[in-house]
Amino acid sequence: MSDLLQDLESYFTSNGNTTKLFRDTMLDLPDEAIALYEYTGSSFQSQIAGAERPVQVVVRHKSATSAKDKARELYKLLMSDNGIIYLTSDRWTVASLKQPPYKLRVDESGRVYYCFNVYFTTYID
Amino acid sequence: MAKGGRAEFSIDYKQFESQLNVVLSRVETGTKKATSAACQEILEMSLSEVPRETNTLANSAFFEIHGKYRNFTAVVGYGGHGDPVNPVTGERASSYMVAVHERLDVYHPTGKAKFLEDPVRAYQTKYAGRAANIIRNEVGM
Repeated sequence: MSDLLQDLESYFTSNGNTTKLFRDTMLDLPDEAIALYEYTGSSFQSQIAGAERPVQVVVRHKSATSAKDKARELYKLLMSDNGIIYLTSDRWTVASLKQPPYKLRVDESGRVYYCFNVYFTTYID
Repeated sequence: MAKGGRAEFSIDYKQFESQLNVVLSRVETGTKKATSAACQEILEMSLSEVPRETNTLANSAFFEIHGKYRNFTAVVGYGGHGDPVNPVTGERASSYMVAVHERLDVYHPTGKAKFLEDPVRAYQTKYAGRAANIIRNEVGM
């Protein structure tokens, strides 16, 4: 089984994402980029090795509109009627989107960052 | 009086109702106390995690409880206490607190990002038990 962020990257790629994507970091180039960060989660039932694993999705673009649109596109890919998302054939998750994409900041180069947070209930890697 | 195998008894509804109201009132008081205790504990945890370069954010931490009649809403957050100004940047706490909270790529010598979300999530699993204890004490059961 691979890492959750790798599986999330695969999911976005298989659904048409071509923007450069970083995991747990975001290099300064290219200007248009996506970063996935996993932060402190919690195990809820040790018996089934499941955990709630929060992930932050950050989108950077020179254009605020493009950054927002890209963030919304990724956000929509994580929506489903019952919350269940198959990131890969090996990993299913229950995705709980915490808020719609919002503007996080503008950096020194004028690039705009949009982000949202999503909690995945899934396996421990 | 028992008569023909039947038992008769009467209930003083007024007394029952007044006793029930006393209990409900105590549940209400206990709920408010439990909500306040939850806010205090979350804020305490949060203040141990908030970045403290100038202490501006920490000084803006607050909690409020609204509502009554067993229906309370609590707000725990930053940007309160007059929304203090950061002495280094001249910005108000509310103008940068979200970025400090959300940016996972920034190193903080003290504290960390997600300084409010993490304590809230950590407290969620404890809340039911803590609230039950406080309400039970208040009701005297």
